[in-house]
This record gives sequence, C-alpha cells and structure tokens, in this order.
Amino acid sequence: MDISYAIGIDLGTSNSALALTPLCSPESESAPETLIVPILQLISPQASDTKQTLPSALYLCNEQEQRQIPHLPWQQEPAVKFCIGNFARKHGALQPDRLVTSAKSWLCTPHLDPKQPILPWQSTLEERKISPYAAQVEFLSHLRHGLLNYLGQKDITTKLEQCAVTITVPASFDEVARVLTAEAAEQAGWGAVNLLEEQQAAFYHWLEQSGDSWREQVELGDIILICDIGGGTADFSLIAATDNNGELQLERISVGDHILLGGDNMDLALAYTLKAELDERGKSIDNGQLLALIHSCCIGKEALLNDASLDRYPITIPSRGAGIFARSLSTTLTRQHINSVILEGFFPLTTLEDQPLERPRSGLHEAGLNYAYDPVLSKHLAHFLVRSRLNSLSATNRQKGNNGDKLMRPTAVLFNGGIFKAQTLRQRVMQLLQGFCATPIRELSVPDCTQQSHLDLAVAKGAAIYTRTKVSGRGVRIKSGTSRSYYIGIESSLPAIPGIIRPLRALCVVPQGMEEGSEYSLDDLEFGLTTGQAVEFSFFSSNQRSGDSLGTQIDDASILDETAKLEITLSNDTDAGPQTIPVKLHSKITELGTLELWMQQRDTQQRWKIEFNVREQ
Amino acid sequence: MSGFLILITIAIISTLLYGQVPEQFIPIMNKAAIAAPTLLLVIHVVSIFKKSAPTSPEPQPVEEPAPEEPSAAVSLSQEANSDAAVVQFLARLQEKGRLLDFLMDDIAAYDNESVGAAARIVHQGCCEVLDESFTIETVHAGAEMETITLADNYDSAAYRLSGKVPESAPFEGNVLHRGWKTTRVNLPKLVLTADNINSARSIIAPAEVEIS
Repeated sequence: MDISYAIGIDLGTSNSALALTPLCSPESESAPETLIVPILQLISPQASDTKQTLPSALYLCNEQEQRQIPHLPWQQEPAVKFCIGNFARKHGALQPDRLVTSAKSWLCTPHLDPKQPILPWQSTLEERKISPYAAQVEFLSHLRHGLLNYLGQKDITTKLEQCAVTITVPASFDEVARVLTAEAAEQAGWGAVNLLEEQQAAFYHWLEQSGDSWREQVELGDIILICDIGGGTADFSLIAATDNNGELQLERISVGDHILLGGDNMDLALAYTLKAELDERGKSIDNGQLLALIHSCCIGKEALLNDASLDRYPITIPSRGAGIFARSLSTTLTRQHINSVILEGFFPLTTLEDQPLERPRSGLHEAGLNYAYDPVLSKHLAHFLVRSRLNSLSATNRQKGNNGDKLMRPTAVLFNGGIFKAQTLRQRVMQLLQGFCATPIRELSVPDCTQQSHLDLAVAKGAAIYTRTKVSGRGVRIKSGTSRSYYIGIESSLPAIPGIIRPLRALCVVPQGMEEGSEYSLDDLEFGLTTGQAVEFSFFSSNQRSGDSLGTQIDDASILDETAKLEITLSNDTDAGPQTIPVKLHSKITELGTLELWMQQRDTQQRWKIEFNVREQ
Repeated sequence: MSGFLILITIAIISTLLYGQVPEQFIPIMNKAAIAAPTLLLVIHVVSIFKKSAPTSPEPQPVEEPAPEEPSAAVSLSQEANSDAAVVQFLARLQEKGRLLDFLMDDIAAYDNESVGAAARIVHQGCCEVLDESFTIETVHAGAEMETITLADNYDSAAYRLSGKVPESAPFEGNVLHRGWKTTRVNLPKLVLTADNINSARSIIAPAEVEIS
C-alpha cells in the first residue's frame, strides 16, 4: 500500500504522542479514522514495547550502560549515549543528575538560551549536559523512527516527505519557542512542519468526534473556554462563534499564559500530605519510597475521584529492601484528603477578585523553570478571564461590547487533559465558572462517553485532523492568527538627562491575530542599516493588546514581555565597502504558522532575513 | 508450562486478595502461593541447566563465532529467547508488584495485617503488569451459579466439566467458576544481544546500590 498521511504530533511537556490519518481521496464521504501510533521504546534494560505515549524523558546512560543497554532497531551508532521514554523516566527518576525532563518548558523560559547545554538542570555532569532544543530534536527523532518502525511492521510504504505534519505547541508559546520547535522538527528529519496551538487541536478533535452535531451544540455568540490541564502545565484559550456572511465561524480570541502547574502537582501534594502524616507518626521514608508513594497517590486519586462511593484508598509503601512484610509502611488516602488537597487546594470556589499570588520579588531568585508560584488553579482561571476581557477591550473594533463587564464570560467549556477524566473535577470547574459568570454555562459533550478516557490523546489526534483539513481544504477551520502582538524596541531620541534612563519605546510590527500567509510592510519607518555589520534589536510581545495595529507606538516597552533579540547582518555584495542602505521592515506569517521578519531595500527589493537571537542576556 | 504456572500463581494470589477465602484456608492458599512459583523456578533452573550444558563446550571448534554460523546463533537465541521472555515477565512482576519479595519472604513469621498490607503492593503492581500485557475477561460472561448448556463441539479447554458427565452433548450444568481468558497478549519484546542474553535469562531483579 502506498498512502499519504496527515500526521499530528503532540510534543508534550511530560508525554508525547503521534496520530495518523489518511489524506482522504476527494470522493470518500465519511472522515477516515484517526489512530494513535504506538511508539517503540525501551521499558527495561532488556525489553522494549510499544506504548501509546512516549514519556518526554531523556536519560543519560553512564559508560557501563552505554556498552550494555540494547539498541532499538533504528539505532546504528555503537554506543547508546542516552535513551528516551518509559525506561528512561523510570530508571532516571532516582538519578536527577542524569534525567532530562520538561525540556519543552525550557524553550520559553526567558533569559536562558534554549540552545545551550543546560539540562539536566544543575547536573554535575557538565560535559554530558544537552540543550533543551537538542532534547526536543531527540524526542522528535524518536517519534519519527517509531512511526517508520510501525509503518514498516504494517507493511505500509509511504514517503514521509509526502505526508503533511503538524506539531502542536502551547498557545502561550512565544514566537521564539515556536520557531525553535519548527527548527527542531526539521533537524529531526520531519521537514517543514505546521504549527498548531494544543488547545485548538483539542477543539478540532472535539469537532471531528461530534460530526455534524457540533452545529447543534455551538450557536452564534458562544464563547467557548478550552480548559486544558496536562501533567505539568495548564493552558486556557477562548474560541468565539461569530458570524461570517451568515456562516458560523470559529475564531480563537484569547490565549492565556503558560502556567507550569498540572496533574503531577496534585499527586505530589497528596504524597507530601501523607508523608507529613507518616513523619508525625515517627516514620520517615526515603526518596525512592516517596516515588512509590507519589505513584500510589496518582492511582488512589483517580480511584477516589471516579468512584463517589469509595471513601478510602489504602496505600502500602514498599520497603527499599526485600523485606516487604517487615518494613513496608501503611497509610491511607481518604476522601478527606481529596477534598482538602485537590478540591480546596487546587480548585477552591474563589471569586473573581482572588487573583494568583505573585512570586515575592525579594532576595535572589534562582534561575530555572518558572513554576507557578500560586498552586490555586481557580485563581489562574479567574486571572485569564479578566485578562481576556482587557485584551478584547483594547481592540477598538470590539468596543461596542463594553458593558462594564470585568471578565470574558464563557458560555461553554471543553475540557482537555488526563485529570478531567474525573467527572468530579469537571463538575468542580463548571461550578467555579458559574460562580464567576453568574450566567449559564454548559459543557461541550462528546457523543461517545468512552471517548472521555482518551482526553490525553486528543491533542495528537486533533493535530492530525487539522492537518487533513488544511491539506484537503474541506472541513471546519478555526480562524486564529498570532496569539500575541510583537514589537521592536527603538531608542527614544530625547536629550540625555543625568540619572535618568530613557525608556525604550516599542513599535508594533505584528498585530495580534495576524493570519497565516499574510504579510505586512512597515511603511512609516525607514531604517538606515550599514552593510557588513551586525545590528541588534530588542524584541517584545504581549498577549493582551489586541487593539494595537501595525506601527502602533508604545512609549515604554517595559510593560511588554521581552522575548528575544533580533539580529541582522546585511551582506556586503559590492566591493565598495560598507554602505548604508535604506530598508523597511516586513513581517510575514508563513503558511506553516511561523513568523518571519525581513528587511527589504526600498529600491532594489532585495531582502535580508532577521534572525532571532536567544543568547543569554 | 512455565507460563501456565505464572498464571496459576497470579490466580492464587488474586484469590487471596479478592476472594473471601475462609480463615482456615488462608495458610493453605499461602503455601500454594509459594509452591507454584517455586515449582516454576525449579523448572526454569532445570531448563537452564539442560540448555547451557550441551551448548557451550561441545560444538564447532571455536574460531570466530561471527557471521559464518547464523543458524546456530539463531537456534540458541530462540531457546534463550523463550527463557528470557519468562524471566523478564517475572522481572516485571517483581519490579512493579514486588512479587518475588512477597513470595521469597517467610510468610509464617508475620501477622495477617503485615501480609495484607504487603499484598496491596503486589496487587497494585501486578495488576498494572497484567493490564499492560493482557486483556483479562471471564470465559463465561454470566454470573456464577448460572445454569448453562454446552452444545456439541464446545471448546473443552475453555470449559472443564465435573460431576455426572454424560457421554455426549448437550451438557447442562451450573457455573462454579467463570474461568479467565485473555483476549490480547502483548508481551514486551526482548531486545537480546550476545552481551545481555545471559543476564536477561537469569536476573529477575538487579541488586540496588545507592551512591551517596
């Protein structure tokens, strides 16, 4: 068989998955099936197995292991320097110096260069460290080999070059993290890939599952909240159902910040609560036992959340040694724990006024991942809805909607992420939103309830569905465009005053919502750039200034998020030596969804691409 | 044979954990829980000796055991492979469910509370391994003590008849135990090399060494 496929990749913070759907021929009526490709990975030092997800964990093998750990079919090099997936996560869990996790979150950590070898973070194995970018390349490369291995076993011949590929990224990723992801995919052999926001992918998956019935569930004027809480991150997006010449149109109107807080935090919180209780009884456990306790808490949490009649889930923590009768410790996870730690700890029924606590600014702040300081997801959700409202108010063309509301009121919710398999948590979030909005809200339902159990695979499938829709040109598309607006910094030309630092002004070069395939030219401003010299610009972004249009000037850039530096060197083609050339800035969103900035000479139309420079600042 | 014993072991342990075994039978069941895998180990050890004895000293003068004799290499690895598959499945049960620790310890020395607590570890972990590799269902989909009729050509491996069994079908009787079956078998694929084959067929759980 020779088939072309649409491929969707959920490159997750803690788990990745890959989905496949045939690029249908025009005559076929029903949508072809989308399936998750099981990925081959080591599960022990002697065995491999295929699993629906590939844990995004990379373990650096020691010298002995490099000689002994077996090769996967596609690994040719003599020594296996590292391994990825199930075994890596398990084996590395007690060797933090050797385990790379959450590499993805490092791509959008400000002031750290994702191409520098910094992981495992704070590892003493200096010469072995790899960069977050390189780790992403390895995960993508493993997924690619896993796919080829799967296709080979099914006797399917296909040329990956003929397949269309989409990789999902958090809606909150800035442009640098997006570009790095696309670049990593290219380096891993995927070629040019589309980028899609994860929360949109979840929505595409829902659309496909609902079939034609989605038009009955969504009506004009709806604002749909996509509430996506994964293992390590929480992301929120809003999609509005608007009118487009009599047709219902879906438009993604707001995205939240990247919140490093998710289901794993809940398991940890439960485990630490039980650990504290054991400590009180004078029983201490070591790190290895704590891992076992976290794992049991995860299972116990799901059992208690899914079965309201269950009151307690007894847990035994095994001893590290063999004597499991004599030295194991018993404890019990109770409904009381679930209520106080999970429901009241992460999802309390707060009000709109309760905003997340900011990290105190005092003292030295250790560089590293920017974990959420406030664990209360309710407050982060309130914060998002208020910020979304501010963002929409900043757009003059939406001013007519200003009726003094403090928040954007969603009318429907779509849940995504493994923790929402538990109905209790879905109900809790609905209750919370009712409290915020005081207007009716409904949950977008899935016709087949058993599908609820696949909430952790929806993003990969949605990405494959999106790819097929995009290639075939058939099916519903969400109108989105860039989730942020982008700015370059310009020095103010003011007389110098001693002791006063002049603020950097910012000029909008990409307005929010700029769509794929569109291109703008900044005609009002001409730069005089000297050839042969590197020129650097500061680069900023914001996710709450939807009102800014191309060329909008902001007096003080410090209110924006600094994203990276831009760097450009105009080549020196002539023998005449350095020349100053008048150029204008062009911004372009490629068909694949990545931002490109160019400098274009006024007369000759010659172009130079501006590169993102993410080196440490 | 060894696969069957593993299933027996699992059955005994899950009966211990799930079923309402009358108090007086618990020691018997416990002994059975130890006996079955011990037998398994014995069979296994014997088979290792059987195989390792002739293969190593006798055959071809050792020159370069490389690509010349692919057939010999394959046949060795096939035998070794099936051994290693069982050992590595046991390894999964030990790793996730501490099965060996449970069975190798002296159960008589502990009270039911300690044994029961440890059983939770075995139960949680072995269930995970079971879910990974099998999809377990009952052979008879109905309830226990239901009356069923088996027609001619019923699968005698799936139903075991007892009591007054007539010569020919139909066989009518009460279901005492619904039986177990798996509708999926997905054992981990061993990645065996000349270097790791010996440890793969012998090491069930590595010794754990912490470097501080």
